[in-house]
Amino acid sequence: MKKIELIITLQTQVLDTQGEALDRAVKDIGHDEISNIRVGKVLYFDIDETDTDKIDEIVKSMSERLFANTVIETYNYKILDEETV
Amino acid sequence: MKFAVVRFPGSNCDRDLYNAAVKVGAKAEYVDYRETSLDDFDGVLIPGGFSFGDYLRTGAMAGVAPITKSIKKAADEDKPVLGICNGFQILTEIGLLPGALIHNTGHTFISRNESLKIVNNNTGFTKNHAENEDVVYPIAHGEGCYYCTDETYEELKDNNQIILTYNENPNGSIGDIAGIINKRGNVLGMMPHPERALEAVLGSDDGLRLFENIKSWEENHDTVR
Amino acid sequence: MTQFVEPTETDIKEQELYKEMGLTDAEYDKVVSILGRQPNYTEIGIFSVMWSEHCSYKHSKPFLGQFPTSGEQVLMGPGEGAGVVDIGDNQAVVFKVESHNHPSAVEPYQGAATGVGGIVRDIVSMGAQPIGLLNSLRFGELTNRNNRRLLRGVVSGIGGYGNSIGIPTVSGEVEFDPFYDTNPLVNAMCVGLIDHDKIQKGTAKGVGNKVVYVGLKTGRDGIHGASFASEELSEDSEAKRPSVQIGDPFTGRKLMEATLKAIDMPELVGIQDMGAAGLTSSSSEMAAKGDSGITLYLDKVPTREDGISPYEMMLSETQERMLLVVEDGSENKFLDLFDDMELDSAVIGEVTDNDRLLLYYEEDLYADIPVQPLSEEAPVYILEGQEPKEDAERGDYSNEDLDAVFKSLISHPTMASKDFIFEQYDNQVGANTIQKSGFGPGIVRVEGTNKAISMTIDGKSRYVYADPYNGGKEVVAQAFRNIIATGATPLGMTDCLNYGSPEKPEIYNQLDESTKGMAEACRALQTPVVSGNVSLYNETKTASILPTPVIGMVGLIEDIEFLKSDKLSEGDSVYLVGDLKKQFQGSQIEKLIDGEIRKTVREIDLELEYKRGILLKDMFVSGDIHKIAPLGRGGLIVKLAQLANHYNLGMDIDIDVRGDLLFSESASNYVVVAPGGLNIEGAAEIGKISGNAFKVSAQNFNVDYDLEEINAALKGAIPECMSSVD
Repeated sequence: MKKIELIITLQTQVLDTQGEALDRAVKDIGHDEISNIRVGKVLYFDIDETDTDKIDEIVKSMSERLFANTVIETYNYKILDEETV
Repeated sequence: MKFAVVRFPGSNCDRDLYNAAVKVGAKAEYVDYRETSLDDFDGVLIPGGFSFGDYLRTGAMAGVAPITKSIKKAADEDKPVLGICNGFQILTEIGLLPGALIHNTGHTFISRNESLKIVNNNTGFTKNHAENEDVVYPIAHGEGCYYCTDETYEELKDNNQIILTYNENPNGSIGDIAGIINKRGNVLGMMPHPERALEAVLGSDDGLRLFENIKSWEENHDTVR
Repeated sequence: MTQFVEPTETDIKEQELYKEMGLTDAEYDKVVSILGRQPNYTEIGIFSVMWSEHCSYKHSKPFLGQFPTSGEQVLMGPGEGAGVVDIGDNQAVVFKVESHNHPSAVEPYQGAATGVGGIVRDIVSMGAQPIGLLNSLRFGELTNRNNRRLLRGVVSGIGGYGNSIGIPTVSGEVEFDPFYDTNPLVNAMCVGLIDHDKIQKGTAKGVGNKVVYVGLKTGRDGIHGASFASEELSEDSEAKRPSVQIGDPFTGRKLMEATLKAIDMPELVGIQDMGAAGLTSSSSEMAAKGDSGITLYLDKVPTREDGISPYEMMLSETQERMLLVVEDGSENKFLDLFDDMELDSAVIGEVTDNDRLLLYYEEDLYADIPVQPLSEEAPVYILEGQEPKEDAERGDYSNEDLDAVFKSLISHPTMASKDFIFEQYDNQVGANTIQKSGFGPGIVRVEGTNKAISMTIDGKSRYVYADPYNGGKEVVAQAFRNIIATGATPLGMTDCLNYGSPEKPEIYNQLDESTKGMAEACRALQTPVVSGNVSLYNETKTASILPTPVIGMVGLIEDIEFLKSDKLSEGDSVYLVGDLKKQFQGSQIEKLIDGEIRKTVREIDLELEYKRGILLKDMFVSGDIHKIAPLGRGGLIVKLAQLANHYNLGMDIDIDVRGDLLFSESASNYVVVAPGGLNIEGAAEIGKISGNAFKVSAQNFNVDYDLEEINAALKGAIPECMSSVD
């Protein structure tokens, strides 16, 4: 059993309206040093598999079928420490 | 002509779409998203709403629902497939139409009557409209900004796949796109709601002809092919 | 009782833990006498929510008793989830308004979203299909960043829930006034349609019948929300954030569809929404109404996490849940239906004949409370009010720069176009919306008929503050005017009483006097009260909100034929119906120039109000007149500007009155548009619809603007505020 952290973000060329709104809000508060905010999603899930190649295959397949829309989004994932499961 | 109105949990324009089909004299039946066949139907209507709560991403979970395969099959069989609003989002998710729908650039939901242009009247859906005819359909969406790559956009233009454009772009869509069709000409996706524009007392009856067109699908689709 | 670590009976008494739950010493003693022993933790929690203002109306009951609640058309008055009014042909409308002020102040998006969800479930639990949503919102001025944040959150919350569940938001009102700084008002109303024979009651009857739970799994959401809603907002409210519940419109929609299917099943005995105080209020109220007892086995309740105690379960305000009582033996039919709709459900108890609410968790008994005293013997407080000192009147503003006043008023968010807000709500889902948010009430066609329901929500708190008694009449009259202006016959109303702390004598006086005025107006205008809600303790550290009774009213349009053409056009005449009196207390010109509200008598003649309203309505329906627009905030000149903007038509008006009277907010006045030379009782022809300019001239005051400038001021006001940075 492994715990997976999957991060999905909009592709860089796709307008991220949430990110833009946050950029403005951050400047309103007075923090000009922050810019280029991109908002994404993070999914945590457990996977009943230990072989990293198999995990890669499953996570990629599910990401392309359901978790992400590869027309507009990119994803990457991490296998978290086993102790956290 | 018998239409399937596909119902997902969270669909909320299913009844409006059903009523629209019946109003023009077609038959219609609701079909649950867990069904696996649409063979008994001559056309497929995918309603607006918030299928699966729009959770994860609009249309994402509907895109992997059991009925999806049958929708693709119906499209392959040259039956008319019309997706409105969330239905359009689902059609892009399952790859029957190119591109994707993302958040409106103003990042708020927009609901109002919108002036649109029928830029291609040479399809089975739009045949009895004049070329570049202006129509008013209501829009109601938060994620209706049509996005595709430059390459796809050129392709859409070259193949006359852009059917409907906004006269005043409300959501940031590329090329003011409000509705597109597949290359074959039988799968139409659009963000505006023609099914809410069937009576003048409700604000517009411009949507009526679209449903009249698909009611006589064989005839209309054949003549444009 | 070893499973859950909780304070003991002695702890509760000695450490006065009941006080943290909002109960007084006297109320605690009353609980002890009802039980004949000291209550345990679960029991005292149950009493604290059932005896909160929100559930028991302990400070407002005497006032609510004044309202007329019956009439030929009333099928069901207050007491159930919502009121029911006949519209003929075996159909009826079901409606109610409810406040979600405190949750919205703490978390505007979820507060507003769950407010919409709650009122929808109230309507659905009566067996009705919702056909329209309305809301009444009040915030501090948008020049303040926090108020902009609250507006943004509340509006997206209302849209987020309403749009997703698929009920059109067809009308609303929004006001901005410094009195609502940090204490916004969010009142949501829902109107539903039902066949007479489908009307449900929230009742538990029939020994052995089963209690069925359906909807979201119970979590620790909003524990003590009902008593939270009955407290003053303080800085501590920030720390009470866990009290905020999360709305799930996706489950809400499935639950709505499932409930409407369940109602068609003959084995259904009773149903109630799990709203404020969740499982506690739904189970005990159903038992009380059915003269029965209820036993619940709380370990059967679907839960989101382990270890939720009976206390937490009974007080949880997890959203999207309903409680049903079904005939013994039929429970599996219901569970199968809910399974098919992909909703969690379980049989969690049964109806008994022992008049007790018994709560078990596995083998252990956690509460044993007599049902009737819990809901019937809640304390009622009658306090002393104090009449405020009357102010000196100001009846003349003619020396002010009236042109500047005009420009300020049409650029103020309260009077400006609300498109920025209303366009975030789906106005047309369901494809029956004839008139949507923007100008006057919503009108929704009764599907499959030529009838339509006109629905409005309105409040006029500055008038109520100036003169609670006559101001109370005025709020009802204003809703009445809105309804007749659509050509509808008013059928009935619902009210939401938003006030400050009743423990303050001047606030108590506002409640007392204004409800008296409202009751009188309801009788005179033939609009019985069929449902309502009370929200008290709308206070911050420094001030109370204005007394804000909000009225939701519903009317019937028998035949929509006359609505099929919008007949307003160039060359039509404009009439003023009524007199512009020197009535400025509570007005917008007074707010702008004096920054205060003068407490002096406002005049309103209810007999004239009714006669005039019905006369105009009949002339509108017969096609003699083309448009009725009741005057409101800002007076005649603001209404003319709003009309010009809405229809994008110029106006040329000449009226021989003192210039400042164009801003008077005296009662019972209308602008009417009709062909020239028409004889309307009490009316004077004051000009024409003409050209592309907005021209108004009075004694010593005239304005002459391009229509474009008027449009820009009205349309731009709110977007400009919302994009400002401070």
